[in-house]
Amino acid sequence: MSQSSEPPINEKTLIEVKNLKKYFPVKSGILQRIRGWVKAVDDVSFVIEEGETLGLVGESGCGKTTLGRTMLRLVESTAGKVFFRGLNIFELSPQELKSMRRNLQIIFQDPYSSLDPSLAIGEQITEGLRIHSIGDREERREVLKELLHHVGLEDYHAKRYPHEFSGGQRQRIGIARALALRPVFIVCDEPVSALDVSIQAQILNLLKDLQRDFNLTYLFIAHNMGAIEHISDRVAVMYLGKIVELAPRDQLFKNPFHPYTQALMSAIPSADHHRHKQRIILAGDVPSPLDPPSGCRFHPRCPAAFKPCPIEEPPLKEISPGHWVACWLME
Amino acid sequence: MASSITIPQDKPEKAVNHLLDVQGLKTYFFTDEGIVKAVDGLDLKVRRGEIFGLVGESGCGKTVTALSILRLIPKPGRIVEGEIFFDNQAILKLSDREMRQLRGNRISMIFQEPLMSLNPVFTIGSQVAEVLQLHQGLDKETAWEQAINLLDQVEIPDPSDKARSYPHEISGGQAQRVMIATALALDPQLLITDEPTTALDVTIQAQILDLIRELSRDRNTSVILITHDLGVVAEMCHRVAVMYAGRIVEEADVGFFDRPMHPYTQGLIASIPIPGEVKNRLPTIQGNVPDLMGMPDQCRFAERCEARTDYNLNICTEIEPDLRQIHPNHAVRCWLFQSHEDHQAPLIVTEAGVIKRVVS
Repeated sequence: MSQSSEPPINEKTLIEVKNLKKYFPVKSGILQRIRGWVKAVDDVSFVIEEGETLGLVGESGCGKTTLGRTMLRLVESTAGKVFFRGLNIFELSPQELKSMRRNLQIIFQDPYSSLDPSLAIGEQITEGLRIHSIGDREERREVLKELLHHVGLEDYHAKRYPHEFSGGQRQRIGIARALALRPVFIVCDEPVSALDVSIQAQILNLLKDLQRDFNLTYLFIAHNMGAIEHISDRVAVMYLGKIVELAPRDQLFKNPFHPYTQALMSAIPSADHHRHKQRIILAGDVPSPLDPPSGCRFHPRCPAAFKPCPIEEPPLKEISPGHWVACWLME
Repeated sequence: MASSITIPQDKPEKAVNHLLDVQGLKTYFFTDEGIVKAVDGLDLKVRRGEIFGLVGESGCGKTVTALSILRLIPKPGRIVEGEIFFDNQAILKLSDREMRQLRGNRISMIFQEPLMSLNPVFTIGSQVAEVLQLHQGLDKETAWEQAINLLDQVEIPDPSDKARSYPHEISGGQAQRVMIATALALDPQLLITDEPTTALDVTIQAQILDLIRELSRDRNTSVILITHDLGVVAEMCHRVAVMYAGRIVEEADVGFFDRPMHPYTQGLIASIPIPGEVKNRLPTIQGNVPDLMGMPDQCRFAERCEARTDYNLNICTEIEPDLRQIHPNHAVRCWLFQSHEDHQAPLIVTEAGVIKRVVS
């Protein structure tokens, strides 16, 4: 990637992701020979500032979930670095990593499958405290009480099991568990996609309140542009393992440059039928990340593709302060 | 029936002649824990050629409504009351054989998970062709040609090649196109689509919705579009019914998004983040969807309703309101707009809009 794509770093930088790659081998045959690589995350760089929410949007298979998990070292990276307050997470020893994990947490999409059905939720929320030997029994009980209140649950819920809760409540439990260790940074991986519309708003509000109260920094992963716009300070758009556009929220939504971002935005069905706008309907499917198109990965579906697009990959370039686009139209 | 919709303009001209007319449908599930009243007194009319949206959150009864129309309610569920007229035919009285004829031939359904609805061991072409062989008695060769033709109509690229693919070789969007091809193979009069795009990506969703709209227009097929996404409804449908806890609480032309009347619909619309209009906090509906077991005889939304407390209404927790016409093509089930013995409706709907009743 060209020099121009180096993200600016200042004292407010909490997370810095540098040329991160995560390739999954595709094996076949009796010998399980490697047939190719799925480049789920392919040379991605960005920074997240303390206290901000970076929204990460893209369609399924674009690598957004893998990016979140690789950043937290829940899956090992193929190449690249992730710095947390200047410390490279990928170079930590197991011991250092364990204490680092207190700072880094994740909230999953499906609050049911991410909870243990055989354990009372109080136990699950405080499990991290036990693992890190924080406080004694009594203190942990106090912490649990506080956490339940923070996420809008009651004391008596602590003794109940996951199946006794609704989807929205389960997501609250997942959030309480992520908060238990007082993390600094939380990856929210599609936290509202599995919830009903009226419950989504409750959880989005809760995440915002907690961010303010605990000074949290979020990476908010979603495919829903409405939720992304509501919660993010800056937004990154991903397509087939690459960030194609990154900008402050309002700028991206008012002035999207990349043809993919434009299509993504025009595809959102709006409940306000006066807002009927020119729909850009993209032809074709999302190509397989196993065999991504040459040059710009979006070019086979791009309504604006021209000569250089199939040949060379466009670099991510800053076109105005803080607004980065990877598209040959900008060159 | 107390809860029936009375659409006045239907009365003078009985000629409106709906394709589908569901009256007082009740579908209950008799479980070990008790009776779940999944659909509880539902009236629904779908006109010919119209796209009708059925909106609601999970568990509100929208899928059970669809399965009731097809008479495909799984055990321990049962239709306990009501009538369903399809093209003036009372389908609840049909024999199982007659019903099988109706399904597929005249009413088709497509589901949320297209890949789960396709048989993994047969090629997609043979699955579309099978429908034609079974229902239209076409021979194998003609059916195959016809299948390729259908795949072409749903815009599958290289249909004669793709017809030989197996379901795992195609994408989710293409699988949904195959499902649509299968559903349309027999040129049904009514297509029921249950969350047809929920499992698909945003850009693919736009393609599929566009396809459904075009096919409906070209063939004059009525469509019931079941979804939780109000945005999809606003863009696709002519009319909309909002369901809550087994009941329709509001029904109107799609323009009603300008002026939703039921506090639940208002809350639902307000809680969706609108692109370009960032609010600091999203308005929410407090609480959760009620348990469908042992539902008391009251407004089912009362516990979560802020309007009830704002207007200090006691009747909401005592008697259930009717789904009542408050404006041409707009019916609402709410005590805010209807009076009853000691209760006087606090709101009046006029041409100019909603006004508060002045209490003398």
